[in-house]
Amino acid sequence: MKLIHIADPHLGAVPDSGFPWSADRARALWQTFSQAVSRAEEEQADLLLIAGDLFHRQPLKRELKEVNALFSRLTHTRVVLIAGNHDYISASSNYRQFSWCPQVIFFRESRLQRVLFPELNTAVYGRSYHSREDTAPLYPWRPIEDDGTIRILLAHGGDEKHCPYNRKELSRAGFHYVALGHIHKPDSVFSDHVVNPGALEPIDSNDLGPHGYVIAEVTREQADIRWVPCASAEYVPLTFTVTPETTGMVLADQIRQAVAQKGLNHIYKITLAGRRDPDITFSRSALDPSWRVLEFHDTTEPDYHFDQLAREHTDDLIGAYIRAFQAEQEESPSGPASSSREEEVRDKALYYGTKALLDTMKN
Amino acid sequence: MKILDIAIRHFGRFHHTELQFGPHINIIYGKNGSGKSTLHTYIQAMLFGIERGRGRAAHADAYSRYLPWDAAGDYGGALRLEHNGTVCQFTRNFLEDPKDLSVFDETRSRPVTPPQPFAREMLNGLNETTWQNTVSISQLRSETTPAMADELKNYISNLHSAGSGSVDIAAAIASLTIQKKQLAAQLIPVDPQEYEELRRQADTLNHQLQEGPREHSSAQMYRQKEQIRQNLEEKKQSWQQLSAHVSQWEEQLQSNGIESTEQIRQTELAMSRAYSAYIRCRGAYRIYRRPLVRRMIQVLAVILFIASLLTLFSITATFQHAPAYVTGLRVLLCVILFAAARILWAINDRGWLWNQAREQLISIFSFWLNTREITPDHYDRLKERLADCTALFKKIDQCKAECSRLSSDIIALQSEENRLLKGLEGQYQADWTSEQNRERLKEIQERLEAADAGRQQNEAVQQEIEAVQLAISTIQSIAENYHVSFVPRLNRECSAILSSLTGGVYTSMSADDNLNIYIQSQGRHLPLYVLSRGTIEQVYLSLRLALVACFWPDHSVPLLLDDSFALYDDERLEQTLLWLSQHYNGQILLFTCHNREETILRRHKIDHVFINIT
Repeated sequence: MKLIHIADPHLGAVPDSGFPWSADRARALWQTFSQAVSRAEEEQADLLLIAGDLFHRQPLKRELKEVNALFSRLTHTRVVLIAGNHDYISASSNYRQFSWCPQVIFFRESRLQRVLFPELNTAVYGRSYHSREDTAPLYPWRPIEDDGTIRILLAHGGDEKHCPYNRKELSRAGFHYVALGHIHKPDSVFSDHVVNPGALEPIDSNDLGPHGYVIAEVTREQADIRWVPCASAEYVPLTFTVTPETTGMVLADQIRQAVAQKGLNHIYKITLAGRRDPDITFSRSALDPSWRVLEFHDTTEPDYHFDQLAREHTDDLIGAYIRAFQAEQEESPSGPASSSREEEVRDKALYYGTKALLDTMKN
Repeated sequence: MKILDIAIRHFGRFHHTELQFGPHINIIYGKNGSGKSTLHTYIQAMLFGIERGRGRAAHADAYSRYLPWDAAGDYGGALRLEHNGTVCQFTRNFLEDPKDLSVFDETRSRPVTPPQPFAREMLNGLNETTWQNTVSISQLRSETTPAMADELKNYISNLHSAGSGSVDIAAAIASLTIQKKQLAAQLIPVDPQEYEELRRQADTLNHQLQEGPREHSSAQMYRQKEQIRQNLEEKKQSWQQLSAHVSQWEEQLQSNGIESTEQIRQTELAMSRAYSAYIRCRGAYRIYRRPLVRRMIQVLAVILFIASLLTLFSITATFQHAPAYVTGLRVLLCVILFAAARILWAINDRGWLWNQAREQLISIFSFWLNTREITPDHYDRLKERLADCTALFKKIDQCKAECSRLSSDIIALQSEENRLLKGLEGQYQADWTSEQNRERLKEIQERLEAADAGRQQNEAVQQEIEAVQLAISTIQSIAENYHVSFVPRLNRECSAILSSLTGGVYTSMSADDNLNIYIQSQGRHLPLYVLSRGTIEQVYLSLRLALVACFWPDHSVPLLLDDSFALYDDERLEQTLLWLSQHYNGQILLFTCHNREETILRRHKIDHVFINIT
């Protein structure tokens, strides 16, 4: 039988809050989800499995109605749905009394439930989260008995506070397909029938790389799995190495080229490294507003040769200033007392102070 | 550095005046108003140029004061000085440019361009600030300016400077402070109170949602209400049907003139009586049918009756003397006549009774069956009919009872329905409020997320600000360290000089960071104003001399004392002059309008040059 397996759509989330493209991303989450549901219709899939976190928060009535409307257009596909740790079924959750269209099976309870589709000879097992955390293991301790059906487990979890599991044990638990959710990063290779397609769209800046969903043909003998990338944007980390010859505009050009190559719709996390001219500072204001730059991390060091300067200014305050910082560095190279943040602050202070003293020297 | 001579072209009251100075002490003597201060200012102007005031200050500045009245078209002069074996000449024309300077290197016989760096070197590190605060000591203006404190700090930090430039601490810190302000302007304001408020609101809403009425009960209530409605409809329908039947039947009965069961009962009674009478008296109808016969019988009955009466009368009249068998015969006759009359009357009665019954039956039959025929069939039919009507009445009553039961049921159900409707409305209201709360909670959570993102961005800027602050405080602490080791030295120097100058009267003074002075006497720190004016002058003189000693340990700058000793008493003056001549190796230009200085120097046979500019 053919199924489409989606995880963590996080509808209603507003990623990169505070940045200009944030509303766009929120819309994209809905758009991509709608596309996935349309794909299920196109492929006339037998099942559409949603492995939890359909919503980013407790769903509103209108959000449920929107999703229900999408589902109600399916002519052949049946939808099986569970609630994850983000949209867990609280005491006041709208999930409790919302009535879904007939295509949808919602495993509302927190104990393992089972639904049988006789026409597909398939049974789907699953359960929903009723609280933010759930440390019960993902699957029943005893392997499920074979009753001649294709057995599918629909589950949400994967870290110690959310239904931890062991992949090997899970693959021997007696299921023909295990549809996982919660870990936003997709599996790098789909070698067996335990599948994590990753989040449908990247939600926060740690979700690097492409995202999408899985189409699978599952029989009692094997599972053919095909991963389909569909996200409208990715988080792309870029590193630029500068030299003392690099100016702000030169760097902006380099960034422009990289962005043009990859695409304006992607979201960039830019890191600068290397040594720069001490008179030049790289700032965000040089970036084109049409580029989606989420992070701009300047780790470049000014091309002061502090040792040389210290020697040149042995006898005056500049030398004493540089020596003061170098002495601190020697005292605690990278001991437990100093965090990397403190080190960064000291490095910057050394640079700023030296620059100010040199610039205001009287000749 | 020593000033060799000056050649004034036009400056104040001086035109084309030349003066030469000696290498050590020079006394420039002139009466009041002879131009000593002018000379003093001239020397400063030649060394550093004249500052022009702007706007309002323009007419009272030094430039205007010394501008020659007769507008000779020239304003300036020359000054020759020597330093480290080099002799050079500074020439200025203030009219063209108050800062204009030409330098001619006499030792190497060539003009120096650009003049400034060379000039600075020749001045041995003197700038206008140090000039005013150390070597140029004017009348009654001995206190140091605030800028001197900064100079001192810079100086201290540059004490051993071998480089070509000197560090300007104040300027570096000012630049860093500006940078810090610019960074602070980049911070996105995140009001912690607003954030807390949002958090509290979110918690409240969460709490409300958890504690609020359960929403699935609205579906239940709705179902209940619908059931009741259905029930109500059914009952109403039944009621209507029954009502309709009842009125139909009543209508029927009414239209046939049947009013009540009582009526029927009576009718039935009458009918059965009449019919039984009819049947009983049937035989008599033949007689009754012929009125003539009937009359005859009646008349006959009456006659017989009368006859019997007569007989009876005769019996009673002749009872006493008639024979017994006659009386007996008469009695027999009476009885027979009476009996006959009775029988005839009974026949008549029967006929009448039959007729009555027949008439009654006819009326009943005609009313009920619309027929005048009296047959057993009709009788049975009528009886049936009457029974039917009775049954109908009963049914009507039953139905009416049922209707009233239904009515009360309906009323109960309606009130139940209303109750549920109200409850449902309330529940819908609560549902709507809950949903509004959810929407609001979502909004708040989004705002909190945005604030968190803002905080993160601020983090980076905050780090920069910390770095700049660390730079500032590090510079300050290093300068402080220098200062801390330097100031005691300065204070020792000052105290030593003061002690010498006052002949041991005041032996200890100290200066703080900003060159505020304190005198120590008998273990207490006294501010200056407790001292006499003359002593204060000496204190400042000590400070300046100590500063000169710090800046130029080899005394390689000239001291200019412009009427500085006016307030000194003779003894102090002597001590001071002796000290200066013994302890100061450099050039001294002493401007005075008194003879005392000259006299003292002469007396002690101290080498000096005397210039009289009166």
